Order: sequence, then structure tokens, then C-alpha cells
Amino acid sequence: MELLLEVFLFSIPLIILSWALPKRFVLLSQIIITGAFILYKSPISFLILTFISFGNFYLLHKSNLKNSIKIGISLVVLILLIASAKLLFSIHDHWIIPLGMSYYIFRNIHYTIEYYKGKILNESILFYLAYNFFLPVLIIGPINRYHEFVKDWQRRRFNSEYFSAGLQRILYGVSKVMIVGNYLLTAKGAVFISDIDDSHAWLKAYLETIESVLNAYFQFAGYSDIAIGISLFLGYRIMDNFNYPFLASNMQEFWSKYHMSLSAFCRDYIYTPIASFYRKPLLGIIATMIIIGLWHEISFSFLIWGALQAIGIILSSFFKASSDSFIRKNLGRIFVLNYFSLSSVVIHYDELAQALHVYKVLFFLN
Amino acid sequence: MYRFLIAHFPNRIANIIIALWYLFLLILNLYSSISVEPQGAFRYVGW
Amino acid sequence: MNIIEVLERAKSYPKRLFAVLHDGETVTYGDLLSRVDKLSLIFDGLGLKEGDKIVLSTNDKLSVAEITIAAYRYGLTVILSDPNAKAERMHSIIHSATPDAFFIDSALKEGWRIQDVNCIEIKKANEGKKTLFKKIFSQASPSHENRETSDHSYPACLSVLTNVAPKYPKTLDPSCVAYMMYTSGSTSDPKGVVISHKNLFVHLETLMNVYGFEEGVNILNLLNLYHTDGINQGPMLALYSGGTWFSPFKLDTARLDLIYYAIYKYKITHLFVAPTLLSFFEKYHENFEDSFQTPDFKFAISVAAYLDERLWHSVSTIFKIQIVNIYGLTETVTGSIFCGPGSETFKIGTIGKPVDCSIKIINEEGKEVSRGERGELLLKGDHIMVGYFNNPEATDKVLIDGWLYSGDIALQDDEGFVKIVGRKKSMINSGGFRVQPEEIEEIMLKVNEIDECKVIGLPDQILTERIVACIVLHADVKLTDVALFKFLRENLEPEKIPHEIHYLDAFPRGISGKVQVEKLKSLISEKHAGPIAKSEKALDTVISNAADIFRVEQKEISELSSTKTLSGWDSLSHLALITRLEQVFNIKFSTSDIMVMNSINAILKVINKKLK
Repeated sequence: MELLLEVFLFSIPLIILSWALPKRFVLLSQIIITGAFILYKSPISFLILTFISFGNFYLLHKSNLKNSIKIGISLVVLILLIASAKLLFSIHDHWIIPLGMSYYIFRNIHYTIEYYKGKILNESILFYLAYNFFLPVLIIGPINRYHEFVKDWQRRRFNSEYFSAGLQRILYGVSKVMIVGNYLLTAKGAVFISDIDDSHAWLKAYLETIESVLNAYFQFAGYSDIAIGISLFLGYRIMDNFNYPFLASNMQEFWSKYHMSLSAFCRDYIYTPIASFYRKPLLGIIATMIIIGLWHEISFSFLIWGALQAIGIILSSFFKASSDSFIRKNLGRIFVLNYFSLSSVVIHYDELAQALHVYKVLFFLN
Repeated sequence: MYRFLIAHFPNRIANIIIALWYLFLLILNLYSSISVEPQGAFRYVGW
Repeated sequence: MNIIEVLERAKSYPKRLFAVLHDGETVTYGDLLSRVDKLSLIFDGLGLKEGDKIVLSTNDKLSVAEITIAAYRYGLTVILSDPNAKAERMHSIIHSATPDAFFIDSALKEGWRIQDVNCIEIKKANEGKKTLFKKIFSQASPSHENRETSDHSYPACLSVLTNVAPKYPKTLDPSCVAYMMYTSGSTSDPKGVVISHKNLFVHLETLMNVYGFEEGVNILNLLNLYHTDGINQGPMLALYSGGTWFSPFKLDTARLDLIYYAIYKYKITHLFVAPTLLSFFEKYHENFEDSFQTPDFKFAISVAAYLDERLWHSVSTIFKIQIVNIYGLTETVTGSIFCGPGSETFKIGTIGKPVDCSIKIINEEGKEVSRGERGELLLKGDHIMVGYFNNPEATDKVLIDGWLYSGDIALQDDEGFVKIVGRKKSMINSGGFRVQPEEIEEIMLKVNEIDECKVIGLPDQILTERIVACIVLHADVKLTDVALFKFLRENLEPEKIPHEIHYLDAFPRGISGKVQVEKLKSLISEKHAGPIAKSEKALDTVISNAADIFRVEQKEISELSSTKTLSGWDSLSHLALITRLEQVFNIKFSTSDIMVMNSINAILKVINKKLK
């Protein structure tokens, strides 16, 4: 909540300056304000991001090394950075961990690989810094793409429709977080569930499972909406992060609609290379989903969670070809919600034993 | 939603409905933020 | 509406933008009107009268537009001459047209050796600061010398004129000639298309109605202003419809991104393109597929050349836009037959249906043919040119009883759609430019070593047609390509320089001794068929396997299909295709290969590299 208010507070001068300044100073103002924000919230993250931005740019574009060596160094450093951060800091002690690191490391991996593919068209340190120091998406994504960012910058103009769309997006985003997430699901829903008599242990456990997954979704989707809305105010259209995932009728579809910027990233940069290297799509799916899991936190729980997502996707490929009737579709939706919720139990508890206990209740194994 | 309203109602009415809807959300947001203890920062935040 | 009414109407919106040009330069209708008024005084000062002719040639887009419009208002005939024209051709035009004044770039005055006193030099470099300086300076000490130069340089000559009533006629005769455009013809026989005010404005009305222009249209037209589609569908159409003409950068096929960005940035509603540009669009679109998905954009309009059906489909699909095609000639102002935007006239692969004109298709005997049969396309309407200037012989050949003989072979299907199937004239349509082979031949024959020369057009993926020169040298002489091209560049406009040169021992001739052009064409194409066929075979293999795996028809896949444009090409089937191709070609792709293989073209590139 406090963080959100601070993002809004920094966004106001960001937006005003981005339209008041002459065009050639706008990116610079974005970089400086965003830089100030990170420095204020998390100096260590500021140092890391600055190091990565300049280091990667100079390594890729200015050094005289062989291309394969450049890419190798870049990827190894980025992956080591994120892995060590994830291993050193746990997800529960927030303000020590480098703010937004999971997102900006992935953005830079994306840049390096696109560079390797020869697809970086507009190379400029200014663009690169602006891409890395872009406040709206810094903390909670989406993991937007470089070429989209530059494209939006190049064609940027004052557009009142962006403002109304942005305003609506922010209002909806805040509503998802505040009304649905905090009030309905957490305050009211959780109270309602805990009021249920203990004799209905199964119902209680089940509702808790669903509630926590929906809460996570609405919170995350809400923050993404806010990020996209603020970006619209600045004149950028940032990719969507959610596309009604719980209307998906199988797990493969679900993962193409849930945290889309991450799943698209993993499809392009993990699934495709692995699946094509080993010529085994299954292996690609398993590796991808486990990495998505570990991206959240390097722990045994998330490893299992990732593997469960992979199983869900593989299962869905067996049912994909059959008919698309109304009943099947809705049965599929019920399955998706339940499968995702049940598989997520494993990550809701700090101790695996607790999760195991809940599973026992849910599957009548007591 | 706005597109739907514009298609089915006169412009002015559609605008009023949409304005009321926004106002409703705004009030509800304020109410929620007052009545609910700020939640522990969300898991994805910062990651 | 005529020019007087159009300008009168523009007075009601002086603040509206007329044009947005290089470096963000903007011109409002108010600016334009004031320029038109002031220019009338300049014309008057040069002693010009209604019906006199001026040569206009400058690289400055705004000057072209405003001087043309001012000249129309004054009743002058504008001879629109490409500044790239060579001196010799220019002299032949001047000799034929006998202009009364020149409005040309300073460099051209020298280059073309113009000695005429009635010559205004267009100088616009670093305007901003200098004019401010000049203003202060001239107020302090109005030096005589300074005035002398500014009198004969544009737009400096306008700045001295303030608050003087414009001097132009109250009315204009619609038969008054608006402009002349020298399209083709050899030096000895230049052909200047004469377009009257009636022709021009009747046609602008047609264009506006066909396109459904309303207030607030934003036209992006980067085409050459010395060709009818540039000037008439750019600044003139904007003026006529009260819209804005955008030409904010130079057309550069290496910077297509500028066009893509511009669509959203400037709220473009209509984009004018030549098919050559569309084929570049088709090639370079990665990550720009959504460029036209803006709330403002309506459709693109393909002008100036034959739009190939495959290209038409392909670009429409990639960008999800409608491409309207317009068929016409310089002799018909710009159009006559329109394909789209209305669904009743839209059928890809045809040129659509005639608007505000009648057409007729006749056979060799001059009889009208029935539906579905081919013949020469004839056009009749108020927009058909007056004739070729001072060239009754050439005029009589193409303009008979009000019917314009287009030289194009066409047929009309059962629903009335017209389709172009061939050409009677030898004219080559290369990259949107109509080039008369005789003109090139004439220049080439000036080279001593060349005995005989024939210039032909061969089909080309990008240029529609490429210009191919076939040469027979005198016995025992040698000629290097370098020397020949150097000579050609000095004597021909860039778009007329042949793309290929072939040396032959003799031309294939008929009994009468005439060169058989068709035989020559097939001879040259065969010579080139070798390497192309080989790569085409690989292409076919890739496409047939892809079609099989993606479960789509083979014809839906082309070289340019990519993971983004082809449904069915998802990450799973991608892998299946890769594995299949490895078996078929007996090669092995590396992971990095596979990551870049996201289009048929990219796949082919990798395969060709591996096979080597």
C-alpha cells in the first residue's frame, strides 16, 4: 500500500515532465526520476541495475570480444546475479532484497538474446537506460520488450484516449487490489471462511485454497493494471499481463493468459531453445515451468509447483484435439481453477509439512 | 463496457452511467482502504 | 469546386494545418492563403498574365505545393519538372513548352544553364534564424544590394510584401490549363500532358468521393511531387478536401520504421503508396504488424503501378488493412478505375470499377469485345487530358472521339470488374515510374561502341518490372559496364537507369527485320533461370512440408510467412517442422539456428547456408 502510494507520488512529476519538456529531454527525465525512486527505496537495487545497464550495453555494443563470448558473459552474469539474490534473500524479508530485480534481470536477458539474434535495431544507451529505468513496470512488471518500448517512444504523441484509458485502467487496478483483493477476499472472505465450523474441515480447507489463489490473482492483476495505466499516461502501451486466465478451459491456455509477459518470455527463451536442442517438447515444457516456479523463489516448494504446472499442461495436450462444446468448455474452466488452486497449496505455506497437511484434508486422507 | 453503453443508450445517458460507475468504484475503494488494515505487502511486489 | 472556391472555403479555417513537412515544419491554411496572395504580386511583378507558363522545379516540398496552388489561382500553367531531370532533356522541354518564367532551385539554374531573366531562385536553407537576422538588418539599413537578391529569391521575396491587395483574376476559365507534365517521349519528340482546371478539379472531386474523405483527413503521401500521384493525391487532395498533407521525411526503403511510426504519431487516415513500397512492407514488417491498428487509420491506396494479387493479399493480411487500388494514367490526372474502398467495387486482383467515367474494351479491329474477352482499354470522361502540348500527331494517336487509348490490355468479368492482363505499349513500369524504353535507347545509342540497343521490362518481385538493356556492340570494340553506367548516370534520371545490361551477338528478328521483343524477353529470362530454379526447389520443399505440418493449404504459405502471420505455426508445430526439414535435407540445425528460423525466408537462409 505504502509502496503503491510512493509509485503514484513519483509518477506525477514523471508524467508532467514527460509532456512539458522538449522531446529530447523526456527520456532523460524518466531515467532520472526512476533512478531517484530506486535509490530511495533500495540503494542496492539501484547499484545493481546501474551496473547491469551500463555493463551489458558496453559489453554487447562497445567491446571487441567475439559475439559468442559477449553473450556468454552477459547471460552468465545475469543468471548468477538473479540466482544468488534468490538464494541469499528469502521472499519474506522484503526490503532487503533488490527491488524489482526479478523483472529487470529478465528484461536484460531478453535484450541480450535479441542482440544475439541480430534483432536489436535501435541501439542507443539512452533507449537502453530508459528501458531499464522505467518506473511503472519496475517493481511488478510486466516484463515488457525492448523493441515495443522503443517503438512506442518513436511514435509517441499526446493522445487523450490514452489518458482516459489509463485512468480507467488505474481505477480498475486499484479496485482489484482494494475492493476485491483486500476487502472482499481477504477481509470478508477470510473471516467468513474462518467462521465456518471446524466440523466442515474439508470445505474450510477448500475455500481457503480458492480464496488465496483468487486473492493472488486479483492483487497481481490489479498492480499490473496500475503499471499499464501509468504507462499509458506517459504515452506507452505496455503489454497486458493477464487475459482472463480463469476463463481458460485447459492448463496450456491458462498459462498463455496468466502472467503473460513471463510465460511469453519463457516460451521464447527457455522452451524454444531447450525443446529444439533436445528435440523433445515435453522436456521443454517441464524445464520451462520449473524455471517459472523457481523465478518466484528458489525453493523445493516452488520446484514442485512448477512441475505440477508442467503436468497440467502436458495433460491438457491429450484433451486438446477433442470437441469444443459449451459443456466441455465450462467443465474445463472448473478444472483449471481447481487444478491451479490445488497445485498452489504447496507454495502457500512456508513449511512443506503444512501444505502436506492441507492436501491430506483436501483429499480425505486423514 | 463504455462501447456497450454507447451502442445501447444515448450518448448523454451512457456518459452519466459510466461516470456513476467510476464514482461508485472510487467510493468503494475509499471505504475498503479505511475499513481494511493495510495488507502485508504482496508477494509479487518487489520480485 | 474550382480553385477559387476551394481557397475561399479555406478562409473559414485559417488555423487548420495544411501540411506537415520535414523537421516538423507545419503550414496552416492561413499561411497558405497569405502565400498565395503574395505570390500573385510576384507573378504580377514578373509581368505574367493568365495563361502564361512557368517552369517549377525544386527539392523543397512546400515550395512546390504553394507555388503550384498560387499559380492555379493566378491562372498560370505550371510545368512540373523533376529537379533530377538532366539538362539536355530540360532544354528539349523548355524548347517545346516556351515558358515565361522559372521558379527553380539555385543549383538548377546553373545545372540547366538557365539564362532567362524571369527566374526566381528557390532558396530555403536554414530559414528560421536567418530571416530573423535579415529582418532586423533590413530595418536598420535597407541596403539596395540585399533587396536585389531577395527580389529574385523565394521565399525571401515574399517578406517585403505586406498588406498589399492580391492581384489575381476574379474568375477563371475552366478550360484554362492548370499544369503540364512531361511524361515520356524522346528528346526530339517530348510529350507534355496538358491538364486543364476542369480536368483537375473534376477529378479531385471524384477522388474525394471515392475515398469518402471528410473533414480531418490526414494524408501521408511521400511520393515524388513531379509525378501526378505525388502532387495531386498529396497537397492538392488535402487542399481540396480541407485535410492535412503529411510528408515529414524522405521516402527511404531502409527507414520503413519511420512510416510505421508516422501512422500513429500523426493520426494518419490514408496512406498513399506505390506497389514497390508495399513489397518492402511485406519484407520488413517484423514487430510492426500492429502499426496500422490505430483508431484513425482507414486504408492504404496503391497508386502508380500494377499491384500484384499475391502482394496485395499478403500485405493486407500482415497488417490487417484494406489496400485500395487506383488505376489511371498521367493522361487521366491520376485515376479512372477504382478497386475499393466500398465492398461493391472491391475485388483483389482486379482494378475494380470505373467511377465518373466510361470505359470500353476493343479488339484489334476496333470493335467492342464481350465480357471476359481481352482488348485495349479505352477511357472517356471529364478528367481526360486536353492533349499533348503542341504535339497533335501524338495526341491524335491516343485521343480519338474523346476516347483515350490507354495502351493497356484488359478484360471485364461477369460482375463488371476490370482486370489488366497486359500492355500494348512498350512502356516499362519500374518501381512506380513509367519509363519509355525508347528514351533510354536514344541515350544509349549515343555511346559510340553500341551498334544496336533494345530496352525491355522484365517482371520483378520488388520493382514490378526491372529495366533491362540489351546491347549489340560494333565489331571488335569493348565496353565496360563501369564506363557505360557512368555515362548513363550523367544523362538519365536515376529511375530510368537500367538495372541490368546484357550483351548479345544479335537480336532475334522476324521476317520483316523487326526485333522480336517477346522472343528477346524469353531469351533473357532463360539466361537467368538457372540459380533461381534451384532455390525455388528448396522453397517448394519447405512450403509443402510446412503446409503438411501446420495443416494449411500450400498457397497460404509464402516465402514471407512467419510465426506471427501464419496460424498453425505455434511452438509445438515449429519443432515438428524443424525435425522434418532435418530429415528431408539431411542436415542438422543448431539451437541458435532454430531460434532465428521464425519465417520461411529465415528457414531458407539457414538451409542454404547448411547446404553449402
